[in-house]
Amino acid sequence: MQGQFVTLLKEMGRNLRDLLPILCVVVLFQLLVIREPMPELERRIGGAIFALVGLTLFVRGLSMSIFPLGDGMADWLARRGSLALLLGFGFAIGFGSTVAEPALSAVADQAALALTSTDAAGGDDGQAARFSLFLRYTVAIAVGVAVAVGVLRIVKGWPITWFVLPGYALATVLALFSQSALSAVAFDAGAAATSAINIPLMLALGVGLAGMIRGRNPLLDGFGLVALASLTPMVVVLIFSFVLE
Amino acid sequence: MENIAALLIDEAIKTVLDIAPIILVIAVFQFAFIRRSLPHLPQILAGLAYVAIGLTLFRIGINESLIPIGRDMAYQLVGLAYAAGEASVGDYLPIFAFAALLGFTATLIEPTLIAAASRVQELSGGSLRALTLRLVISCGVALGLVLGTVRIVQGFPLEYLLAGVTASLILLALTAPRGIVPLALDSGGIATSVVTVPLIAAYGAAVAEAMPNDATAADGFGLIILALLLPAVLVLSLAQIQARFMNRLNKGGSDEV
Repeated sequence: MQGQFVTLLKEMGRNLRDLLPILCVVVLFQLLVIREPMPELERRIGGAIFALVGLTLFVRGLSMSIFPLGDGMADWLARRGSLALLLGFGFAIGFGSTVAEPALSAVADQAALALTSTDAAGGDDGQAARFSLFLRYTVAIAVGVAVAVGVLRIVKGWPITWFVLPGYALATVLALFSQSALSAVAFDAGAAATSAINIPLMLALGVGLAGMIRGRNPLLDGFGLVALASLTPMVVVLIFSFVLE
Repeated sequence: MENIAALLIDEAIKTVLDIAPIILVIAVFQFAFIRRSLPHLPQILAGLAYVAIGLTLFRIGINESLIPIGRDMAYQLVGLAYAAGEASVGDYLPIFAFAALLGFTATLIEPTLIAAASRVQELSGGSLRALTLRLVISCGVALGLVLGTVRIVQGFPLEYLLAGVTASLILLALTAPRGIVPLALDSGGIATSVVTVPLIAAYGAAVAEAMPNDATAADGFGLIILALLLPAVLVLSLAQIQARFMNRLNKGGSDEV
């Protein structure tokens, strides 16, 4: 218990070092450029202390739980050798982590409002809510499929560029042709869909799998799941806005 | 005090929503398929509690410090650029510098990147240092934020900027040393997480709102995607430069080998 506490304190010291640059930037701009006292200073300082403690606990907790869990799962799945189970797990991880993601829900609501209000039929609230739910589930299914494909890629040794580069190309072409106000939102939503929990888990799964399968290098083949999982929501929301307009 | 309690509850709910589905998936697989007792169950449960408490505290912390500070400063800096009347590009230099420094320093405290980078260092046997990786990716986010800010103040369409960035990303990924490509493509997604996403969203909305022309908060969108793509572009470019450099070195002194 004592050792735990010392480790945490040491890590907090390291995180404080990481926080110093941003503190310097804020102080520098406040003093030299803005030259006004900062409003609610005590509250901001309190927030920074919360952030420091939270950051330390979170990073420590990840290496105690999510990383070994992901490794263990990958290890078991690779030993078992059942591709169906492996793909099922990949899908479940992608779907589960996306469907309740707060950032995605916010974007889906916004997109639903924007689309139903331009609708000639005159959008009511119920329609917008249904559409938002539909969009969220579509995106979650798409991310699930993306993670399953990413896992399959690791097993088969396909290059990640086969999937990610055409995906980005498609997203860009869709954005160029739709000229919809929604396209910027779609891109940002994709980036927001990969968050604090699913990124570490996808890394653990990918790296663990690549480490277990002969001929795969964890560093070379274990990455790429996050890229796929953030790209897919972009493409799906873009296709939605393209079809609907 | 009530205020803090309300904040805690609100953020705790968000954290639970974030974590619960994943825990459910893992639990279902653990009990339905694996059916083997977990070796370090107490440690894993303690770790999950750390994750939940840490994430909640962290979100409250940045919502009360970094995010309002970034928003207020961006608003004031754009206002300063206009204080003397019509603003030219030069008047925006402070806000561009702020964008670069904010993107760089905020990415340094991105917890997912901290965790991922130390994992990479472990996997590479120390040849890819965690701090180096974090510094390069932070530079990428900074670059993305500056590009996005230039776009907002100049009113340039996002689609064309994105087309250029994606085209160069595709070109670089096809020609870069193959080993770095998956990590490079993931780097942006890893870097845009709990700190940078809300911070950049708040920053972008403030910049767009402070602009005197008809820009609205909606024009603040599009910054996060640039912050996601530019780290990949930067990592790939550096890998290319390093490969060329090593090549030349090897050619120069390869006689003995």
